[in-house]
Amino acid sequence: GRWRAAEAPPSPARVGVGLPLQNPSSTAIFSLPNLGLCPAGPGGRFPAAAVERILRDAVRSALRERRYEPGPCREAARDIAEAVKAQVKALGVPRYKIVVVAHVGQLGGQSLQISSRCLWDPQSDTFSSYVFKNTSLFAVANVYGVYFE
Amino acid sequence: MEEFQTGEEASFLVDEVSSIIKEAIEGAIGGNAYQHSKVNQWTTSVVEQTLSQLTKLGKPFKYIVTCVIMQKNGAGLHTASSCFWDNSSDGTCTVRWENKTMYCIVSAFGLAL
Repeated sequence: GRWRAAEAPPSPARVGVGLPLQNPSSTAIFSLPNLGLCPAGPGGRFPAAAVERILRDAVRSALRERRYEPGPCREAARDIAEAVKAQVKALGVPRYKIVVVAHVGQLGGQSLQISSRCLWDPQSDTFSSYVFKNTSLFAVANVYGVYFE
Repeated sequence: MEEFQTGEEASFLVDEVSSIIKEAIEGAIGGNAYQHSKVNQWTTSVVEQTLSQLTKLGKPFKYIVTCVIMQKNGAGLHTASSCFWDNSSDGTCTVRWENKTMYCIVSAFGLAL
């Protein structure tokens, strides 16, 4: 009955964010491949647009004009995650669990890849993602909305 | 249909998930040096292997798995997460792994149905 998600082959949503930063003095290129967005639930229960706005505002207000510094950026990652969770929770969407993950990193010419994949029900579960950068740092923030019975 | 008992079977066991993640990382990138051309394939492999092993546990959970692989060059990276869930059944596990040339950070979140 309820445990269909495990019996059926996984229906993953994959978000891959590649940051091929070769040289700090040249233009940093962000590649954001096809996000493979999951449809929101039947009738669009999870308010994707509102969540995206929350993500964008939380990241920008924490990091715009900031330079990378380890202590403050560690705090910023935590603040972003907490603020986004609180605001998405305040939207009051019934029967949804929320996971927020925020990464804040230094632009140092390194290359990195962030990927996630989910085992869930694509009819009801979904995610939003926001990528930010300035001259000194970058941030990636993801919100996952997971329906529970 | 199987009945899931309350108690151990229905909760997220950090040690169990941590072993799964460690094996997935070792299997995908253990013994390798960082290569930009491979990193996409590596993150995919780590995430898919982790998810498939979690599925085999046969627990009534939905899962989210995130993987970061970053070249070591002195630059800093911070990750934080915040969740709204059921404390008695849901959980998360993060494994940090590194070798001489790269960092790999994998987080798994399990949400009970």
